[in-house]
Amino acid sequence: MNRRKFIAMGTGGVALVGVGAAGGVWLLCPDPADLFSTADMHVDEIARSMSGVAGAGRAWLEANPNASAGKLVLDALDLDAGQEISRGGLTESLAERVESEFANDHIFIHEDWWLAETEARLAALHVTLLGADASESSAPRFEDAPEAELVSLQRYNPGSVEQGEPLSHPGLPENVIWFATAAAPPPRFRVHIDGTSLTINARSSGFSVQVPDALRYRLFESPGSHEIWLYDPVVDRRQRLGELRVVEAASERDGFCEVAAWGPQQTQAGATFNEQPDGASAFWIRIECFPESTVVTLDGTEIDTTLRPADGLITTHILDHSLYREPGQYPVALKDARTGESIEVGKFVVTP
Amino acid sequence: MIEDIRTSLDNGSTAEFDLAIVGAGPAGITLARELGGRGYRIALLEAGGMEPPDDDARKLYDADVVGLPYPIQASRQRFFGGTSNHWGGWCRPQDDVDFETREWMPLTGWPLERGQLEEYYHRAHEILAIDSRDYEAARHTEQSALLPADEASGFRNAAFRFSPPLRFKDAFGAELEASNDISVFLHASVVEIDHDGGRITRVGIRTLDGHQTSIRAGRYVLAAGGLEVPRLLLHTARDGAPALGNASGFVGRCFMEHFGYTPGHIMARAGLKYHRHQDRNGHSIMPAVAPRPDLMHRERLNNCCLLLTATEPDAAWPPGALATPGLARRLGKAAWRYRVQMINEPTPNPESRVLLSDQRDALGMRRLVLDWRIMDRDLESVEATVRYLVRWLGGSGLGRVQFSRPISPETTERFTGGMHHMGTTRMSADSGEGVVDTNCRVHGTENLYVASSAVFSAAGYSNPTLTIVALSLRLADHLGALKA
Ligand SMILES: Cc1cc2nc3c(=O)[nH]c(=O)nc-3n(C[C@H](O)[C@H](O)[C@H](O)COP(=O)(O)OP(=O)(O)OC[C@H]3O[C@@H](n4cnc5c(N)ncnc54)[C@H](O)[C@@H]3O)c2cc1C
Repeated sequence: MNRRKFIAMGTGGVALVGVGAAGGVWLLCPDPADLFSTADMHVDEIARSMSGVAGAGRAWLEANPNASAGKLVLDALDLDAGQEISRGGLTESLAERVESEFANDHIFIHEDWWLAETEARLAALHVTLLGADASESSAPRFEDAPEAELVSLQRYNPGSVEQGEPLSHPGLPENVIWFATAAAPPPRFRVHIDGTSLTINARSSGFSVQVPDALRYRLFESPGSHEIWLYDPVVDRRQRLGELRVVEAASERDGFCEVAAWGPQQTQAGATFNEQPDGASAFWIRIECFPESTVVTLDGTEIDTTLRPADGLITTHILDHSLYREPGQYPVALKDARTGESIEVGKFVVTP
Repeated sequence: MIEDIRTSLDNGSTAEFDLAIVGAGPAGITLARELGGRGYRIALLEAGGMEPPDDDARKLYDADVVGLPYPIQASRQRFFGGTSNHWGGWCRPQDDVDFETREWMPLTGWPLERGQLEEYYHRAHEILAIDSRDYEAARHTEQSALLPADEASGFRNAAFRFSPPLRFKDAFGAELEASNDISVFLHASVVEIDHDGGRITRVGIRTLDGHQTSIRAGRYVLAAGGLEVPRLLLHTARDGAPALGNASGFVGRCFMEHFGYTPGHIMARAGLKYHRHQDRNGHSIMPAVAPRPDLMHRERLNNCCLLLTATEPDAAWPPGALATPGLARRLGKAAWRYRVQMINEPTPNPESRVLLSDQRDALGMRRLVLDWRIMDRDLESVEATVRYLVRWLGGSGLGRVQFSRPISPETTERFTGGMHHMGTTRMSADSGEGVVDTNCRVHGTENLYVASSAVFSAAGYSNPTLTIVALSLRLADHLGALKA
């Protein structure tokens, strides 16, 4: 007696799986491939399980208004509705039939997809069986994509642009953002900035995108930060890469924006803080906008200042450690050397 | 030595050399470098300077496009290094089948066998700094990342390799500058070829500021690119006598381009890697699906390849639909949708051609007219190939095809070319069927040769530069032996 038949007769669709002679435990679990049922029930079940086929199914029904899709599928498989067959046997016949239809150009074309006639009939059966609950499909949308790590990002440049100016960074063409990654990304990835999807130019050490003028001008309308995302449209996953900051044009700025953050905010008397390679101490101050002639003062003394307007950053370089030799609280301020205007950044605490 | 002809040769003067090469692109530079040190004193005549041409010089490349639309200005560069200043570096030798006479594709068949180029291909890879000579994708990319294109499928996995891309100007400029045998003359546009009884006696050179000189040499090689070579030859027609090499009427005819076409998409197993990537040895590779020779023979198809790029799924028939049991048993775990781009081989077509207009450029040469055409049978072959793809993928449980753009007159208007100019001085054993012989010598001449994709008898789908360099190396061997 063949095994399938035995299972069908003996267990009515439940397969015995076990280790027999070794004396292990016998489990009772259904093996779908071995489930015996009538052919029409299997076909219905397969049709119901289909995903995203409502459109194709409806198209077939429109083209064949008087046909019974289920019956035609059974006919194509040479099966009677009530005929007993295992699920595996039916799936195999279906595969053979579909493949032979391709070989014989027995095709149904839906939205340019060349489908086997039988698979289109199955889709139609799906629609007939499920009606309004038939499985629709929609194209994936970046906005709805779950987050995942698509690349291991090391850095990107530039991270900001001044209103009205091109994006620029040493070694890069204008309006190009370069992303350094651990490995080459597949070229199908896209970068999304402010609703615009950009193709990437993949290289072995990362990728770049060209920011089109239309997007740049739109970004200029609203200074601030715009998220940069990487999107894989094929697997519908996205990764936040960082942001592109649009800073107000120098000519538009009058005075200082609010200080966003700064540090270090304390040290021990005479101890170097945020030590630089040459032994200097250094403050960093994050601020969106500031005059070109800004200097940092510590307790009223002007200190060596580096301005990085594109990054919204001011740094200092203090070699004179006597400025914080005595414990106390000393005001750190930003001063416009041209106008004398100044804003306080905070109090720098020097502990004993 | 690299010199500006306007300052190195007096106006009206004639200089004598053993060999004059017209054009310093990949073909001309390769030939000059190979023959340097082999007893030849060589003049390498380059129309442009060391930098991209200005507007006036660029206009010399203006042409009338009367057939399919063609971006003729963007398709070549007129300065030292030629179009290698611009090229993308995709490389692949021609296939064996490209050399065969395929009776269903009239005028195909090189009078050479592919094997006769083997050693030259080998060296051409070195010159172009291509890091691998192995074009069997299956040996280099994981099996699971390629379609299982077995013999029964009718398809196979081919591959492209890549030159960095080598810029001939940067790579060999200093070497030519230091050479004693080779004199590179810049701004030296050859505008006429004098001949007497099949022997070339002189080439005339003109510059945009009116400076005129001549070069006399024992032998001459035209290496000015696939459009300018026929243009120069067509200018030699005089007093009702045909142009040099044109007893057959083939000069300028059979202009071939690898036409690109995007028929649609396929759905197949997830994670296929047909984009450019590093192979197991760290070498750049880009696999492509191509029909097998037996399928081409059986179904009378042109050669072509299909490039696949993963792209977003389509709601009309999403990947989930294909996961239905029994619909695609060899699909694997999941399906992705891929855009298909085809690079196609055209049939040599005498009606696809370049000719001369009655208008003249600023150097007095007649402007070029390009009448690019693709034969109906080529379009049928493309369509048939897509249908075989439908059969293969569907018929072996591997996937489906979305054939969105069946070929119509509108689609042909939007065909793009690869900027590959082939066939305009085709190679033939018989002088009645082509322009150059198997040594690239112009039929009916004693001392005039061509180094260019103009000599291709058939185009295959492989980008031409690797074969151009290989043919130049072969020509160098031939000329070297003649000198010896
Ligand atoms: C955008 C682009 C991308 C490409 N990508 C690829 C690729 O990826 N792979 C590939 O294989 N091929 C590619 N090509 C094609 C490739 O560039 C050419 O096959 C190759 O450059 C041809 O070499 P050549 O020496 O025959 O001609 P050219 O490179 O065109 O050189 C001809 C030289 O002759 C000079 N000349 C012309 N007329 C005269 C005259 N009358 N007198 C004196 N000198 C003259 C020109 O100034 C020029 O320097 C590409 C082409 C373009 C435009």
